[in-house]
Amino acid sequence: MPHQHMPHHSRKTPAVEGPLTWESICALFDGCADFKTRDLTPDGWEKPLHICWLEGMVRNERLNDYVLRPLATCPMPKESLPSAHLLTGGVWDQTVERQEDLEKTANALVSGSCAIFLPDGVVTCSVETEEKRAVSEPGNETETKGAKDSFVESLRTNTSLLRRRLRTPHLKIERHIVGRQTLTPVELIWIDGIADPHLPRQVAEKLADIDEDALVTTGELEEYLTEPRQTVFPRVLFTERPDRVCQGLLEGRVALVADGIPMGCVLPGDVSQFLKAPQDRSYHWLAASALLVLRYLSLFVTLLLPGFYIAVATFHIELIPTQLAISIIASEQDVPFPTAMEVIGLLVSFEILQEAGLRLPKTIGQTVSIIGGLVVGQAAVDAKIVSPAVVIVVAVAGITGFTVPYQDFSNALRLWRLLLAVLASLAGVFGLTMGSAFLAAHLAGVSDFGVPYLWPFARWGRSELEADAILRQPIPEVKLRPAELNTGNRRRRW
Amino acid sequence: MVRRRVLALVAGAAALYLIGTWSGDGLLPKAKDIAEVKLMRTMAVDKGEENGLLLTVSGDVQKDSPDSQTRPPMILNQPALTVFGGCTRLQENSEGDPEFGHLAECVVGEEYARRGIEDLADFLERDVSMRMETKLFVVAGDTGEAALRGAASQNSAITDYLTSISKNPGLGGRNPWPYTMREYISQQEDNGVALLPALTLEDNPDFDPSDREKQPEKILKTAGFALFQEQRLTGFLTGEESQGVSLLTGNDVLDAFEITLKSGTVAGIRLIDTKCRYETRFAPDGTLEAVTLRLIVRGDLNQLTGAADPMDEETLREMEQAFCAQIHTVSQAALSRSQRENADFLHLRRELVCRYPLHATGLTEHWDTWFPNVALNVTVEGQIQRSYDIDRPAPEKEVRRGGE
Repeated sequence: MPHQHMPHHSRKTPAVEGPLTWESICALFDGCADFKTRDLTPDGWEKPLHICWLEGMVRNERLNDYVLRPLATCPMPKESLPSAHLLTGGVWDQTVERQEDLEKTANALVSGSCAIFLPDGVVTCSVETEEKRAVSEPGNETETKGAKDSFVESLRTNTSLLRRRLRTPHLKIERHIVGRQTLTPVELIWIDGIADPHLPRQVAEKLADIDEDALVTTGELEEYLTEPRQTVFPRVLFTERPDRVCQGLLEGRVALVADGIPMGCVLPGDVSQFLKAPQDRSYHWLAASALLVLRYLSLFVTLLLPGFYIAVATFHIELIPTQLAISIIASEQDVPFPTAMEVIGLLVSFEILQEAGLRLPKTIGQTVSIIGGLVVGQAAVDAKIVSPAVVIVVAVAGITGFTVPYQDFSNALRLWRLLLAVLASLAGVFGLTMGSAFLAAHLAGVSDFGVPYLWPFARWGRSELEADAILRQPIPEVKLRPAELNTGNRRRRW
Repeated sequence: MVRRRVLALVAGAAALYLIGTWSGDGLLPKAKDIAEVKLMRTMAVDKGEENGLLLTVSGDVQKDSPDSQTRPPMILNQPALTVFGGCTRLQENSEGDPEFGHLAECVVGEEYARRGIEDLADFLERDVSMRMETKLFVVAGDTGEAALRGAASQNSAITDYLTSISKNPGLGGRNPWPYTMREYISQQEDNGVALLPALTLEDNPDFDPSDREKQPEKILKTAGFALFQEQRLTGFLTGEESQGVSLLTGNDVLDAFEITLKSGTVAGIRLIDTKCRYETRFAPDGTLEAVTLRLIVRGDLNQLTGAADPMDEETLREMEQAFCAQIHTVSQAALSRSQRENADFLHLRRELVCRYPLHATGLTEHWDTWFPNVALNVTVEGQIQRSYDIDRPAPEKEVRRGGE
């Protein structure tokens, strides 16, 4: 529904208007301290050339050696077209382009080019700086037996990391610019012949629809690419590991890398992707499958345990084994709060502790966890504010939640865990069942780019097994790519 | 989207209605926090005034916190016309909130049992929180309430004792095994006869009247089986009869036998396996004339007190013959009682129908008239197979026959 009081906005095209002249470019960057100009008079010329660039965006050595030095030292035709001379070797730069309008010239400047204003036109030379963070080990997706490199903030470095792994000429990289103010380069990557040919086009259309001032976080990309936005579960996989992006590309998915975001984005996503850890393919297939089953089990425990405990302790006491019921009753003696309030309160406290630990510096964060978890927890039990049974239930739910390898998925489970606990406190197992059914129905209704979110579970068959979708199969036996991705070449190997 | 939401709301409302939560009391089920409830573990049902009954329930030993000292179990009682009414009124009138979902045992007094326990069976069968796995016991010569109160002390409740004998029925030697309500109903449905374990109350010699809470005033002991015919208690099976029932129904294969040999040596033998084969004789007109139960038993020699050598062939022969004779005695006692009461609690008819399908119709239709006149015999073949000395294994021998 459109907002009634929302000010009118229309996308301005072109974003920068005016004639492409030296005066207009100076006016455009007026007040920008990093906008630098230089006038240079080639040998035999009466009037100087105007050169401009943005300091910090260009590498000074390149500008001096590849552009200014040849302009200053080499003879340059005066009467004939000097721009053509520059395009054919007058400057020693790799990328020299003739510019026709003000907007493209301004964009080139902010991308790290210098602009040379000649009597017969404007030429830009790419002399961008390559200052960037060095490729380092992934901070959040460590692997003992795998590669140790991770994406950085530089787009070209990131694509090179992929290109070094996938040396096929069929690896296609298509550039898009996103963000009205940031003009962030985003590159769409796929393997021609493996990915569904419609998929890159659909993603490209979605990218073109992004109408944002800026693209500086992953959310700005994800929330435009996926619909409906009401689901809290992640639908695209963001990873800092190039090898994981390569796996996705080889399955027939597409990837996006954006300048300034040290992550690759693989899409379309499905639920099984978010439960696989990077190291799964490095371990023996049986061990990896067992761990995967453990993760699925943990998923249900973290999601349902607090709600189930509330339901049985408040509505269905007869479901609890007698000895356990006796222990729980003994532990609940003198606790002034109802069980439901205890569990929900402790769940919220657990989330607060977790959030506090994340926001603080690592060393202080650990202290907060220890003080919060151990000292306050023990004191709360001793003071009979919460019962030990409830502490155990919430702790088990929290710990099992950490086995989910993808943080966004884990966050979604945390939110639903709280919701299911509230439903269970209202209507017991009935509330829990209805909530779970609603969640299942909701997830079953989610699909991105024609791929159902729950597809490996929605249709259990040989195809899903072969495609390594749910459990890890021996790699030589995984001969097919996932059917739901509608890949151009389904077979991985003979 | 709107249509889907409306459909979801309608489906949710239908689900609420169908599961019965949409009642006049409110939309959502009624909560009962676990911290508020008092778990009742054992229920006693006794004969009340006129046609009424007296319901008594007992919980576990009470503990205010894991580290606090224990207190005697909470015992509540309530006269009522029905078990259901008694339970409901107990929940309404008690200070705590008695919870009956964890009742593990039900004890009935003899007087009430003689009047008939069909109303109790009916209640346990229908009530949503009760369990068909509830074990039933009959107190011989006393009331269930007396058993609950007598066994209660600071350190014990009747539940502890009943749970103990339920877990180890055979290892006690001659204890009856416990029957659940499900098994009781199943027996009644089969032929109108059922057995339930019987208990007796005896004075506790350690009871100190000055500190009444420390030790229980009474001790519960097993006392064979209570025999129910058409839901009413008609008698008790004790001693050899009880042991025979355990043996013939295969529920007590770990029973212990003590045999005194001619030399004065006493052997302790544990029965470890029983097989029963049925041999029958039918008259030309199809009438059942005789049934012979051929028992093949095996025992372990667990103790030998005296001078006899267990490896001696003659000693073994004597032990096996005595062992078979004892088994014959208890089996014949159970069979005779069954015939005398015209109560087929050994389920002979069911066994014979399975083994002689050609006579199934006759056995089913005429059993009540045939059974009192059938010649019932037992033969026992037994072997004692274990000795103390593993370097001198018992010699290979034929299975001995004895006790016919």
